[in-house]
Amino acid sequence: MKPREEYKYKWYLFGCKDAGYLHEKKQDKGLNFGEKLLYYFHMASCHLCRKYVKHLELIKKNILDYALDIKLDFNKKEKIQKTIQNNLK
Amino acid sequence: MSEIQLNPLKWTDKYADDMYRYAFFCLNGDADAACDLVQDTFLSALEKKETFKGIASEKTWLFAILKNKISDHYRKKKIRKETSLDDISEEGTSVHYFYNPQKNGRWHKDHEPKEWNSSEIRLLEKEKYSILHRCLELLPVKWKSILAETYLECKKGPEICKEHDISPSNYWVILHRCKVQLRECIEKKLK
Repeated sequence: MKPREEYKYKWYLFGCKDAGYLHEKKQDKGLNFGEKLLYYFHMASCHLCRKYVKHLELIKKNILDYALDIKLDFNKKEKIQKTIQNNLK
Repeated sequence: MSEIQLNPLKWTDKYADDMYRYAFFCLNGDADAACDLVQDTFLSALEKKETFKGIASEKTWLFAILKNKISDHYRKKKIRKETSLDDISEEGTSVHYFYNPQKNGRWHKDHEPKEWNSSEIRLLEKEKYSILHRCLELLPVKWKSILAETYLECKKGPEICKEHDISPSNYWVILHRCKVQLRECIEKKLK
C-alpha cells in the first residue's frame, strides 16, 4: 500500500516555510498537482521567496565551481599511493 | 565471495580526488586534515578488506569508511556534536528562527532575504572559499555530509535517504534548514 503523504497543506495557511520545503521536494522528486499550484502561486506572489530561490541558485553555482577547483595535490597523491603499496607488501 | 573485487592499487587514481573534495567540504576547508583522512581511509580499508562483501561498490564502501573517519574527527575535536535526526529540532537552526509561526510561516522580519547587488555577487564568486567555509562551520556534520552528497557527488535523494536511513521528507527538511541557514550566513558576510 502506498504510504500517505504526511505533509498536507491548507491553501490559506500556506506560507514561505512551506514553499521552502516544497522547493526541496521539487528539486528532488517533483511536486504533485496540488503542490504545484500552491508553490507556483506562492512564488508568483512572494518577492522574498523569489529572492530566496535566486540566492540558492547562486550558492549552488558557487559550490559547484568550488568543487571543480578542489583536487588533491600531486605529491600528496604520490605519497598516499606509496603508503598503500607499502601496506600491501 | 565478493562479486566486486577490490583493487587497492587503483584507489588513489580513481577515488582520491572525490574523497578529498568531500572531506575538504565537510571539514570546512582544512586541507591537511582532509588529506590525512583520505590516507587513513585507504589504510583502514586495507586492514579490513576481508570484510568487503561486494554488496555495495568499492567507491560506496570507501566513502562509508571516510564518513566514519570524519565523524571521529569531529568527535575527537569536539568541534560540533554529531546530530541525529531526533535532536535536529533542538539545534540552534530551528525554522522558527527564520519564519514566523504567528504569520503562517512567512519570513521573519529580521531574516527576510535581501537583494544581492552585482558587486556582492562578484564578492561571493571571488571569496567563495572563505565565505563558504565560515558558513559551513555553522552546520551540523550530518547536514554538511548530506549537502556534500547532493551537490558534490550529485547523488539522488533516494540513495542519500537509504545511506543515512532517513525518510524523503526528512531529507527535504534537512536540505531546507541547511540552505536557509547557509543563505543567511552568506548574506551577512556579503553585507
